[in-house]
Formats: sequence, structure tokens, C-alpha cells
Amino acid sequence: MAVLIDSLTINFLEFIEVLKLAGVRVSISEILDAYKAMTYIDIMNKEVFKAAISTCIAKSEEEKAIFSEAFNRFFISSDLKTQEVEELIQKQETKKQEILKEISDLKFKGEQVEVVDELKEVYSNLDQNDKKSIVAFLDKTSSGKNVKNQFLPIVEQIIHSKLKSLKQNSVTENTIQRGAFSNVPSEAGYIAEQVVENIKRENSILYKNISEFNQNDISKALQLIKLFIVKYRRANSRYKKTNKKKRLDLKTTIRKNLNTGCVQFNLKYKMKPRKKDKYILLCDVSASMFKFSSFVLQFMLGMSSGNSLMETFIFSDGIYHINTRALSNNQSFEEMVINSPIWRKGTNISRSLNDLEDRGRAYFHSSIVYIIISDAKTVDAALAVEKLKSIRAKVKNILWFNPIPEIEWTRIKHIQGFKECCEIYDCSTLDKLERALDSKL
Amino acid sequence: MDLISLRKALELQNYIFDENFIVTLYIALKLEKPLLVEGAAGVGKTEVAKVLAASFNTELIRLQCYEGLDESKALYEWNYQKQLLNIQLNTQTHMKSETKDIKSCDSANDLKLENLFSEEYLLERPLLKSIRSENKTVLLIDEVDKTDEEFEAFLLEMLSDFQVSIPELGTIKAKNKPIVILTSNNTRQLSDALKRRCAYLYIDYPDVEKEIRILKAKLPEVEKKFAEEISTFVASIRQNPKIYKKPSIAETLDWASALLAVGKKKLDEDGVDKTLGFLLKLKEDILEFQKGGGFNRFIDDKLS
Repeated sequence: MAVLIDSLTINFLEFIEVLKLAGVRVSISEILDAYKAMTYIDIMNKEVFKAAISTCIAKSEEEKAIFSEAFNRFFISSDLKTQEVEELIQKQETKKQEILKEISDLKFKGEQVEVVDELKEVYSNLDQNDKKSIVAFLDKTSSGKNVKNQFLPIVEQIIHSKLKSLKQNSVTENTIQRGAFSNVPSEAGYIAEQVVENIKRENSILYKNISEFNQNDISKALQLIKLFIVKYRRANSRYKKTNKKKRLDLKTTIRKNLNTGCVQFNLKYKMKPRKKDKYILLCDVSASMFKFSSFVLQFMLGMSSGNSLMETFIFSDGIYHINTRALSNNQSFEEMVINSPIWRKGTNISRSLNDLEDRGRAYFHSSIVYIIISDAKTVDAALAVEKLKSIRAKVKNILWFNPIPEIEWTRIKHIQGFKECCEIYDCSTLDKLERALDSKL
Repeated sequence: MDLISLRKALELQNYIFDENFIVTLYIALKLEKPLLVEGAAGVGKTEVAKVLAASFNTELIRLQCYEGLDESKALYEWNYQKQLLNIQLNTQTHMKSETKDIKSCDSANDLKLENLFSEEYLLERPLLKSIRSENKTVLLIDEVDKTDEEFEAFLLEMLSDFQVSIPELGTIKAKNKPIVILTSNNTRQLSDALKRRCAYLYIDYPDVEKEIRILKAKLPEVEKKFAEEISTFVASIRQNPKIYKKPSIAETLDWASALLAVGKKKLDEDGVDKTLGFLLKLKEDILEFQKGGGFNRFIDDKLS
């Protein structure tokens, strides 16, 4: 019996390890609760066992999904589990051999060009044209006049740089797979990897680049955008407390002055509720943003409809006010944006902001928060940075949602300048948009 | 109470549940942990507390949360008016008797001041009431996500140790640990500290089979075939990705009642048109439903 309990405990703790590796936050008290819960149920009944420990450990809808996936993968016969892990190891080994075979094509004057493991995978993932161009470069260089074998380190350096640049362009942050040359993880690590991959596959739309949404994704994505926006708007409808004094708090005053027979020497005041923040939504509808247009339109509609504290503008080489209160349904909203004189023009943020300034001071005071949706690709970027800095000094905050993945921001001119005066968030996927909105709730 | 008795007790209340629900509830009761119930609006989160109170034949104490809720509304408050009256009364008595016997008057005055923060002046609010109750109660903290973070932090002491601290009276421990049910519509993330102290239950929309059972339990006058049609129709609406506000169980029940009220015994286009407002509560959703082919499209899909 003692052996049975011991193996159960070990199994249980290994399972907790899988959950932690898969991203579920589990505290000691929760582990103890779950362990205690096992004593109240028939652990031979798998469904009851699953429900009992899930109750104590998985504390959100997302964690429930991870828990369920991990449970189904972990609590199987040990033979099956070992077989699955061995298959995964075998798969990794096969992949490794394939990569090594491909990399053997990279030769300079008959000598193997050495490439670090990470870049070997990058080479393997390139399309055939890129691979051919690298091999052709090596062949051409090898056959050049006065080219000696001693040039190999220089050639290796060039290949490294090329692969690094190709990696930056092709790899997105959503690549979660462990490399074929990475260290072999524990059994728990393998299971956790499979769990995370499966969960991401099921919720693939959350992690898909919004510029790549196809028609099937759109309606699902719109629902998610609406949900995020509703959450955001609810959170922002809350009044926030401030330390400014206003009305006399009679109850607290009496309570504090009881010792003096209620002679009110010490007056206490109620906290004054702060005025709600007002939002100015600025959406880039220039040509470069066209591939994000369905996202931008829905984002605008969700944010602004029925929200009296939000003013919506679209901009490209100028600015245009959108009166969402006059809209009757989604169709006319899209029409209004698409028929505007600035739809799909070039981007000039500084000119657009100048136009906004011309509309008067009402758009620039301390309770205003600006929300900008733009890829930050603009002419006169330096002027735009200066303009934004001057606006930042007048308003409460400037939030910037950028649909371009953060990894590609280095290619945007003056992004550093924009970062200095705005909080810029990567919202290239719905998951990132949700996290960005959550962080501002 | 064991799992079988709990199951029977809930069944007696006509409450329809699945295995996951009953095990979660059982574990929460056994561990004496608060149960945090999350799910969309109208899936029966509040009902859990009501059913538990009825099953255990005990009092249900409800704290409805809202923005700005503070401890004076949730825990306790002193009866200031009564305290003030007492002080005034005491002062007058003191003045009248000043000429007669100052010494005795002083001692009477001191006694009153000491008593100002006694039980006599304490106004119990739901949290304190549940803790001081002589019998085990069910405490429902409804829509906890609507409160401010400060109040959520204030709840932590109560939820972990089942005790509250009142500066004037000290720490009050629960005579009988209440069964605590917290509900949340997930409009904002609750803190990890709060979640850690609770057992967790997520209630999703029911599947067709479960919804039929709910309809039969709550509206026995709905015939089996009619209940099947209603549940299938509602399930198809919930699966439609273009419908934003999915109908809840409560709305299904309302809709079934409305269909009965207009004299329908089976689902048809006329009945759906007349009562759709009970099921879909947004103008956009009604338009989307009609644009997508309405009831006829549903029938076509069902036949195909």
C-alpha cells in the first residue's frame, strides 16, 4: 500500500510539473489542496479524479483547457506514454539528420561551411530559391580567381549574416517549437510541449497574424475583437478614486470626533470621484494599412459605438472625423470609412496631427487618452515624433496599437522616437491585442 | 456528507448538473474552500448558491457586489445616529445632575463612552452576519468582478481564515464556517490571491441533452418533443459565430414560456418571429439571424 501511495504522489507531482511547464501557475497551497482532494474521491474513477484536482488547480477557462489537455496526455498507461515520448525523440532525431543532410550542401572549395545549430535550422526552413541562391553564391565564390581555402572563415561569416537576416524576416514570435538541436527535455517537458502546441493549434486564430486572416477567420475574429472591446470598455467605465477632497464625510467625521463629544474639530472628507477619461481614437486608413483594414474597421466600430466618451478619427495624409452615433448598422460604417476622402492615401502623421490641432483645444487636455492604430510608416517621421511629443505633454497618455509584429519594428524609421512619447503595443495577433488591452485595463 | 448524498440533495431541488459540477462542489465543501463560479451571464451561477441553501435547509445570505462597494456595506457599520443620541442624552443627564453629585455623574459618563462601540450599536452586514451566524449558512458573493480591487483584497482575510477584523471589537472568527459561493462574469481578471483561496468551477452553456433536461425540470408543461426542438434551435443559435450575445439558459426558459404563452406546442416560423426578442437581446443579432435565413435556414440545416 505504501508503495502505491508513493507512486501516486510521484505521478501527481510529475503532472504538476507538466502543468507548470505548459504555463499554468500552480502554488504550493493549491498543490496541497489537490493532494488532499484526492483523499476524498475514488481515484480509480478517472473522470472524478480529473474533476477533483482540476477544481483546485485550474483557475480560469484557459487554464482548464490546458489542464484537460495535459491530463489526457499524462494519465495514460506508462507503456503508451514511454512510446509517445520515444516517438517524439525519434522525430526530433530524424529532423536533425535531415537538417544536417541539407547543410552538407554548403561547401566552399570542397570544405564544409560551419554554421551554428540555430542557423542550420534557419537554412533548412528556407524556401528552395533562397537555398539555391546561397549555394550558388558559395559555388561562384569558390571558383573565383585568387580565392584561397584560407578565405573560409570570411565566407562563413557572410553566410551567418545572411542567415541571421533571413531569420529576422521570416521567423515570427509565435514559433514555439523547440529546435531540433536543442537539449533533450524531460518526459514532462515533452508532454508540456505537446500540450502547448495542441492548445495553440485549437486557438490558432488567436496566434495568427491579423494580416493573414482569410474569410473564414474573419467572423470568428470579429467576435473575439468585440469581446475584448467590451471588456476594455467595461473596465474603463469605472470611476477611479483620487485624493482630491470634495464633500464632507459626515459619518467618518462623527466617528473620529466621538472622543470630543462630537464637537467637530477634525473634519473628514469623502474622496472625490475622478472625471472619466475621454478617448480620442486615431485610426490609420492609409494604403500601407489596407491589409489590416477589416481588423481596424471592427476595432473602431467596437471601441466607438455607444461610447459617448470616445471620439473617432481616421487619418492618412489628413484627418477625417467619423461620427459613429449617426450610424445605423455595420455596413454604413464601413461605407462611411471607405468613402472618406483619405481612404488608402499615403500616411503623413504629422500633417494629420496638425489638422487635429486646428480643430481646437478641446482635443488636448489632461483627461484625454489618445489611442492610435497605425503601422507607424509615415513620411516626415521626425516631424511626427516632434508633434507627438508636444501632444504628449498636454494629454494624459498616448497608447499606440501597431499591427506589425514587434520583431519587425526595427525596420520602421523613428520607431524609437515614437516609443519615447507613446506606449506602443504589438497587436499583430488577437492574443497580443488582448494582452495589450488587458495590461491597460 | 458524501458524494452520493450531495447528488441526491441536489436532485431533490430539481437542479440539473453534470459529473464535473458535482465533484467540484463536493471537493469545495470537503476542503471548506469558497467556490468561485465563472461563466457567461445566465448559465446558472447564482442558482448554485440558492440550490445549496435549499439542499442544506439553511439561510442564504447574499452580498450583491457593485463598483464602490466597501466594508461599511459588506461587513459592518456603527449605528452613528444611535451613538449620537446616546451621547447627547448622556451630556444632558450630566448637565442636569452636575449640581447634585459630580462624581457619580462622571462614572456614568465613562460607562456610556466605553459602550459606544458595543454590540448594541453594531449594524451587521452580509459578511459579518454569515460569520456570526449560529448555524451554517450559505454566503453568496455575487458578481465579485464588479467590485474594486481594494474590496477584493479586503475579502482575502475572510475567505482564507473565515474571520474578520473590526478595530473596535477585535478579530471575529466564524462560529460555523459558511459555505461561500463567489460568482463572476469574468468582466475583469480576478487577482491570483483570490483565486488561490477558492475552488474553481466554470459553467459553460449546456449541450442539447442537458438543456432538454433543464427545460423538463423547470417547465414540466413543455412536451418532450417541443423541448428537443427548442434546445436544438437554441444550440444552433449559440453555434452561429455571427451572433454576439449567445442566449443563456435563463433566456431559453423565458423563450419556452413565451412560446407556450402564444399557444405553441411545436416550433414554427410564426412562433419564432413573435417571440424572438426573448432569445436574442441585441438588434444586431436579430438582424443577423434574419439575414442568415431565419427559421427556414434552421429547418434546412436540420434536414440536411
